[in-house]
Amino acid sequence: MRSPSSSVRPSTAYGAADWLKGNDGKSDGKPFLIGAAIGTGMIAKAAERGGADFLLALNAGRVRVMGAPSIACMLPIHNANDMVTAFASAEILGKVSVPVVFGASAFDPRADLAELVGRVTADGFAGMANFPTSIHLDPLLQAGLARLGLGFEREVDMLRLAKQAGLMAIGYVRTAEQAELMADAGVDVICLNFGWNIGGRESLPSTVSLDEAAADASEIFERVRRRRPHIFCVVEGGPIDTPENAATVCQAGQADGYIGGSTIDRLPLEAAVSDATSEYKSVNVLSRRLEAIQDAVLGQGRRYGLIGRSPPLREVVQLIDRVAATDMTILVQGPNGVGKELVAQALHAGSRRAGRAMVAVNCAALPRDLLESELFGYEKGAFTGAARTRIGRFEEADGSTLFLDEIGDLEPQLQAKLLRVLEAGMVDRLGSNQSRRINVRIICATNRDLTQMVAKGAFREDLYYRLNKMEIRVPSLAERIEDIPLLVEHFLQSTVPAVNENVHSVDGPALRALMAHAWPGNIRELKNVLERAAILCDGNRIGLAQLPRFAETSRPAEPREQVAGAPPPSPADSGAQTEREWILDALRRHRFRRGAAAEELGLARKTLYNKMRLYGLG
Amino acid sequence: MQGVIVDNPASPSAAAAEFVVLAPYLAGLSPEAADIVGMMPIGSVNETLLAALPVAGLAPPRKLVAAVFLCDPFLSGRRLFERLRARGVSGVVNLPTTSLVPPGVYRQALTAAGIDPGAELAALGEARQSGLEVMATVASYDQAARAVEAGVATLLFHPGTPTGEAALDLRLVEGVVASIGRIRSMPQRPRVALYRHPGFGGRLAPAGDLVEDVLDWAVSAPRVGVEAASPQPV
Repeated sequence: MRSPSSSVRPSTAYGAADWLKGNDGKSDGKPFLIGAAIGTGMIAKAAERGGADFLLALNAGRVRVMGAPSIACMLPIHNANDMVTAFASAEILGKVSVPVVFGASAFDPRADLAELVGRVTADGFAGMANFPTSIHLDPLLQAGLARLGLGFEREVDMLRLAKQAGLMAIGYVRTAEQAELMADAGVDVICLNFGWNIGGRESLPSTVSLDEAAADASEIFERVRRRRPHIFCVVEGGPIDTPENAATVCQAGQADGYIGGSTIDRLPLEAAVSDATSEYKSVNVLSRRLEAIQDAVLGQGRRYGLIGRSPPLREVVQLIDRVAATDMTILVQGPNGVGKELVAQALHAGSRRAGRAMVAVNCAALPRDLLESELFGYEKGAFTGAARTRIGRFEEADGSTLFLDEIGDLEPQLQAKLLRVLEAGMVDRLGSNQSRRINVRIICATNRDLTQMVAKGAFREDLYYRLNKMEIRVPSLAERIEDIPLLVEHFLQSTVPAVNENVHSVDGPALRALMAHAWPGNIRELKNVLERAAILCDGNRIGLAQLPRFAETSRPAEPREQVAGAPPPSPADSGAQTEREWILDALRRHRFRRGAAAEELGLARKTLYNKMRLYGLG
Repeated sequence: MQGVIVDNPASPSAAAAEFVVLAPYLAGLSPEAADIVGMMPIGSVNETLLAALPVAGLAPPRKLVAAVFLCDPFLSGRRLFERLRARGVSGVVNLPTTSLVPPGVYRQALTAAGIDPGAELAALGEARQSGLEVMATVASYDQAARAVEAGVATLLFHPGTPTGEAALDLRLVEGVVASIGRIRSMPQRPRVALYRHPGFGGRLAPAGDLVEDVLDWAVSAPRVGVEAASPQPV
């Protein structure tokens, strides 16, 4: 037998390279052969790794991996021999160590078989098989082909030539007569094919049962072995769609092996690809579940960086969700450090403009003249030092969102220019008399009371109403003190590791101290306090020792004066709207000392703890 | 009308005919081989067709009908039809065709894979929508009835493959005459062209008298080792 390819590494296993030579004619000396009828390099290599003794490069394998049923290999959609040569040469020959057998078509009367055998030999194939083959056709078509000299006998002739050329030959047969013809021609392997394989999405009905296949194999192989006792007899196709079925037919039919086609590529591939895709699809579902869980724990504003579940923050998040997708001008109000820019970013991210970056300008950070040129841009020579034309932030934000922070600090002259932009949608660069149309969504923010400024004449009323089509008021941290534990946890994970990666928690007393603080600097202050405490922390838990400024406030406060013998206030008595607020008020009064709060509320400590857990208060 | 089936649109036979069925996949095949191995994987019918078509801009034969294989699982019909139109093709005919596959296990398997005359008729409908004239190859009255029902107005009647046995072939011709007679009496009155298979010789003459058009074999003679034109991807 020929070596499959000079560049192929030698096989060390007792594979097909050896089984012909090694066969001594005794059945117990034969290996059980596994052939893989394949159509791509990837599947060829996988089959080799799986232990295939030889590979059959078939056009059927190729059309299968292209998504068509195996039977498409019989159609005039390609030249079978050219197709096999192309993919096997490019993807398989020289890349596997087991013999590669060329699936050859003898249908074409214009093809010279000797020339074909010569080409297959020169290309480095180890053998030839008659596939695609006339055995799949009905008797009438087979007879028609035979009349033309293009039938099964031509396939036998082709394999005879292959043997003469020193190639291994595998004869596909369906009947005993065909098997005998092939055996007489000297083929090495008889492959009894039971028709197109069942199973899988592209399966075809089998006309043969497993029992019939086993009976056929038994009878045909017996006849063949009477003529050629040493010949290898293998089975393929039809009802054999699992290794168990193959074992049944092989055992009952005394087969020496099995050739797998769609059973080793399409069927497992379909199942594996389908399963893998399904698993990745599940990842998405799991990810959505995880998001939902995170939302439940950290609040729905988490996706905007707004951490917390307090009612005031929930209102902000609901407003963002409601107005983000609109082009409405929004005024974001709130004290410094509450996350007004986060709100602006959330509004931009939820809009159709999200594909472009939001442009942000702090109106308080620049002197008036500089701010004017920053916002509106200028033409070359518009003023001393204007060496070149520069577009302003309005033009830069064309098609996107412009966030004007500290809008209350805008000087009256610029207020007028801003009003014109808002009214006309046009912007004029300094030094230019040409107006430019822009499409910008404006979001403003301020910590000042614009209504008071309007009343005092410090802010244009018309501009105020232009800007304040919708107002979002971001609560101070003092208004949502119950969010502090979540915020602390958030900063411990997000920013604290940058200053001290060992710190991963804040102990109870320290947390209560943080919750008792008034937080005039709001979330920004909380973040700074935590980072500073983490720097001072030697262990992995921040305690009051790292928060000296807060230790004072953590001392027990004087209990509120209570009328002796009077019953503890109830939610209704306290005027609180909900039990949660009733408890929170008490906790605030006692600076989150739970014992004192429980006592005031007339609750057992354990009951208070449970309610706090229920309401997310610690 | 007198038509010819050719493998080369520039052949003298094509120039003399009133309509031409261009089937370059048949180059080098005998009429008998064409019937059977024309449906085998000896080349891509459609890619070979595109390679053989006149270059756009040159005058094609009077009426050029392209023989296309419409059961290619990788075929984008609309794209092929647009390319054919752009190259001066006026119509298409489903050749080779599954209509010539005799009943049996093989045809059942093809049908189970969606490779059958019904699929070809559906593709012909798409060709018609693309602005091409369509001609359906049929080999029996039943196939003709299904084609006409699908809206096909022009049929190419294929008499089947001669067996070489005189008595048997005579019976085949009698069947052809009877089928064409029934088709002629259909209320839709489809136009019928008869493929005058050379294997039947003059025995098909009575059938030829029943139809408006005839199509004769004018493919270049069989040669071993003939190289077809380089196929073009469809």
